[in-house]
Amino acid sequence: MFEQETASVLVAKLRESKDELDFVRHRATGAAQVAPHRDASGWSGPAGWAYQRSLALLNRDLDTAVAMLRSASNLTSAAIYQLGQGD
Amino acid sequence: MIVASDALLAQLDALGHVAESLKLTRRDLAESLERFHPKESIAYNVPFAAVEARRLASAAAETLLEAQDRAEHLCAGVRACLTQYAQTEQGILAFTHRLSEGVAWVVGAEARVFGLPVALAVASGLVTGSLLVGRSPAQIGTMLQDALKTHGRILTNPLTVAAIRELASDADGFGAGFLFMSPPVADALESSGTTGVSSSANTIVALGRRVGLFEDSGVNVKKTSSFEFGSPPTSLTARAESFPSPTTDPNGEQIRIDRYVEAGKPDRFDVYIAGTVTFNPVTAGQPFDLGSDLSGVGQQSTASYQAVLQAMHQAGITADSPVVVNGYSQGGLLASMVAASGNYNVQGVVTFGAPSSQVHIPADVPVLTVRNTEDLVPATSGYDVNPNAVVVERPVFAHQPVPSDWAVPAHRLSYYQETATVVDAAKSSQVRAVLDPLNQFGAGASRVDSTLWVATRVPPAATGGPVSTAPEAVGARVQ
Repeated sequence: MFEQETASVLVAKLRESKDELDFVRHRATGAAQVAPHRDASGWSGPAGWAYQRSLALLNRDLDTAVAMLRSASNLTSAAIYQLGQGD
Repeated sequence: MIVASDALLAQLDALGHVAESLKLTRRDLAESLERFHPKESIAYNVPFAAVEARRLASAAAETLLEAQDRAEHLCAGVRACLTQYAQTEQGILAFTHRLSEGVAWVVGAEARVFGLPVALAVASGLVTGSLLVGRSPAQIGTMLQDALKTHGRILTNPLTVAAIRELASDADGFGAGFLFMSPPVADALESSGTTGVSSSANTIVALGRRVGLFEDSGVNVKKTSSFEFGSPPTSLTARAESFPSPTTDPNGEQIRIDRYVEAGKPDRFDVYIAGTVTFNPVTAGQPFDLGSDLSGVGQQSTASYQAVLQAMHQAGITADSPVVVNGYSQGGLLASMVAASGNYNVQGVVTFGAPSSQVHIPADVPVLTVRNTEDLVPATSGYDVNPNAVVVERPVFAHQPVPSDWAVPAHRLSYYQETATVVDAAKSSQVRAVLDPLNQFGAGASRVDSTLWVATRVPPAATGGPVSTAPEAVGARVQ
């Protein structure tokens, strides 16, 4: 009895956590889409290189964060399934 | 002040948006992680996947923080670069101007001392040269004009434009040298605004009047037609296409006024002012002539300016009527003068290729200045004095040949209409902040009444003149 009740509470919390992760991922994806990808400065030499490099690093960070959030969401779904309440 | 391409400014806006969005994202993620600790909150056999999910989410939060920092630093860094660039450019321009002003002073002083002999030598050289090649000086002049058209890159060139802007700004230095005015006094007069491009233009007009050129006159305007145009402009292109065409229209109207009628609201107006119609220095019937150009750059009340005021008054524009003033070439100069007068409720000024750099417009009036980079007409008014104006430039002939049918093709209205289309697609917040309200200016109008006005010069005594047309006569605007 205790275990079932605790499991259902955990599943509810995991579901809530997954919704929040999906919301956050959605917003991070939006930021990644808005972020500039190609250098539009028209600068040549080191300034242009540095700007392009910074943009590349920013996009890499955003892609990584989105991928991590997606994995976290998927793992949360797996945990819910594992508890026997799969959606 | 910032000098940058629209694309880069739009990227700065995007970076700022990304940083702000990531800040909110991180906050939400942190709150979510705070609420749920699978290991601590549940006395149960928590699946490993849930623990791993939390670890990944925490790592994502750190990565988002790095991305946020990166976006913020990048945004601030580029903005600092652009500001520094603008300041450096201003510094270089100021230094160059001082240097060339000094040279102009020396040239002016030497012209005073050696002027007549040098002028005679040049004149005799020209006559001798023309005799040698068997052409009259007039024919040589025509040949020169043709050569400039054929080799369009000579005039249609950003370097030429920069040189003309500098020469226009240095003319007062030449005058100071010619008058043997001490350089510190000349500098002080220029700094105080007593001398400069405007005083140089006024000097040219004054000298011209001694030999019968640029004569002043009165002016009358007449409404030639009225029609319901359809809808207010919702783009800069529509504005650029709304100017009357006095050189091709049979009546030669130079001014068009659109009234936007909406129930329960005061009428709003768009005023469109055409450019110079004739460059003949001898005053005839046309008020949109070279004399008005020069007097306008000299910030004098020209016949064309009086015509605009008369047309506005007769169209029902009062001191309180919301009005946007649009001008092409000399029309842009006049539009700026209307806004600078402070006598109208000007909601915006839009100029295309206008020699209006010296007109001080109140800082609270949005100004959109459109210039083709190779157009030398705006350069004749020197350097900009309005730090709040949004100046948009586009090189027209960077990737296409310069046409040879006009001496100054970059000044053609058709090329400004092309530029307006490019500006309409601008994404930077700086341009959108000015353009979007302009596009909404006539929104909600149930009717648009358009009127066309033709202005003609009349003897000074025959005009109604500025006294009857100035807004003060119909009610002063409370600022």
